[in-house]
Amino acid sequence: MIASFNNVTKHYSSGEGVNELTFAISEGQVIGLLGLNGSGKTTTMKIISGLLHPQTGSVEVMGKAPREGRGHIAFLGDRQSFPSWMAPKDMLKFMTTFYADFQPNIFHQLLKEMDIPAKPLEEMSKGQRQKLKLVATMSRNSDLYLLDEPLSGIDLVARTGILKTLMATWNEESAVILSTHEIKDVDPYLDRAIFLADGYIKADENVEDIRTRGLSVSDRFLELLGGSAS
Amino acid sequence: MKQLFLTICWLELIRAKTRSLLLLVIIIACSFSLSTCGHVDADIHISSETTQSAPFAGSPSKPAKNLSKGDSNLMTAFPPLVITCGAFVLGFIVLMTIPFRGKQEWEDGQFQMIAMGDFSFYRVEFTRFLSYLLLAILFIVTVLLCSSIFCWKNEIFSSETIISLQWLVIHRFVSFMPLMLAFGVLVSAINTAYYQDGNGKILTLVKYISCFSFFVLAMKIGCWFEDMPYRLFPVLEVPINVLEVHQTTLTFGWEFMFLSLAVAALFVFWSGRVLEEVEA
Repeated sequence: MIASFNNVTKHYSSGEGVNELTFAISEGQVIGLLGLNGSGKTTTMKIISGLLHPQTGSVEVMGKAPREGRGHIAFLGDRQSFPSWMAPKDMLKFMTTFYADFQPNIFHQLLKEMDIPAKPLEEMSKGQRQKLKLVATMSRNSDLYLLDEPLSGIDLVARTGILKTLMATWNEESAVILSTHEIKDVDPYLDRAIFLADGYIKADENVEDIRTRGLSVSDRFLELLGGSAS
Repeated sequence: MKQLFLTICWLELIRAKTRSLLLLVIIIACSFSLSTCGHVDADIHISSETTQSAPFAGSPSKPAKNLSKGDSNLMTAFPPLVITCGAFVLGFIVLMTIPFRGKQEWEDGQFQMIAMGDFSFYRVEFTRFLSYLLLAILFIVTVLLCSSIFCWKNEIFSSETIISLQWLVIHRFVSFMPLMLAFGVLVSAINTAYYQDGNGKILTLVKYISCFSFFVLAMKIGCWFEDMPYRLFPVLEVPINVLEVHQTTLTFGWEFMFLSLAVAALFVFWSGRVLEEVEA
């Protein structure tokens, strides 16, 4: 098992957060963390990565507390992550210093495959910046990849290619958790879907089971959360 | 650790490039002013020597010609001392604010990337502190060398006096610079912790005020230690020949310096602790 959540609750001063989350993440899984805005997806990601501390309950990453286990996690956060003046070559230097598991060869390969220009972030489009962040995250040899909205800002045409490239380089002994609103795009790659609503797990299902019922993940999403959406 | 140090130096130099350039400008301006006042001083010196041998040396209509040997040295020593002190003061102000980080950096999420990295914030903050200290050392040594070479070449002070003054600067530098840099690192870390709640401008104002207030407090404590009737460590006494007229001895105590270095280490540790607990 890579990570586990045991009855985890975390509330912000605004009242939002997550409540009594319990689930486990095993090797070889691509998990979709799906929910509406404010349902607790980012909070869940940050708790696993050790950037947030739960108020109650416990989290383990590779048998350790998240802060101790952060070396096992590659996290694509909701922020730009790098200073705007950095170009891919600068990010390479930064990542090599701060992450022992960073693989420069994979980084170069993905840069080429995703057609990312060698210019500073501030001169790139939003989509290019997002792709570069993704490349930097996926170039690590981690046990758990946490991708918070990895496809935001990336155009429709590029999304499928990016996902294919990422999944081709993904080490199957690890696990991926991705939170996204582009459910249709990630649907073919998901093994499991955790549906969140108002900070609670509404359903935690194998995608294969959903498909057996003749539904897609987005159909199931609408079925479960459509009420809350309206 | 070497790789981390080099990377942090590179990141910090780019982040604080305006302040680093400002330090460079101060060094250039100081060197230029010293070389310019070298010519002026030479003129003053010559005119005073001429005055000594002139038959109407005491003429009230020409007060400049009333200069004695001590006054002449005072006139010669005054400009380089003022320029050097000015450079140190300006440089000190710039260096004190170098640890301050902008809100943009928080929003860019660089903290998140470092927080998820292999190094704890204790090590990152300590390395940052070392990089600032390195920059400060480079600045102080350059200004001190420029000034010393100028004074030595123009025979404004004897080489013993120059060495004594260098001791004075180094002692003051070691007593205050690490402490102020560490305070800046701590204030910046606390500031970072509150950025997510907004109010960036108020906090920026608070951190500048707190920095200068802390400096005044440190100066007062330093003076109190200097005036202390008893000493824990033997003092260093350096003779100094002020303006070739007045012989005196500079006394360097170590108590405040050691206390200041210990507090600096505590501040750096504390800033690491704050950043470790910041919710990115």
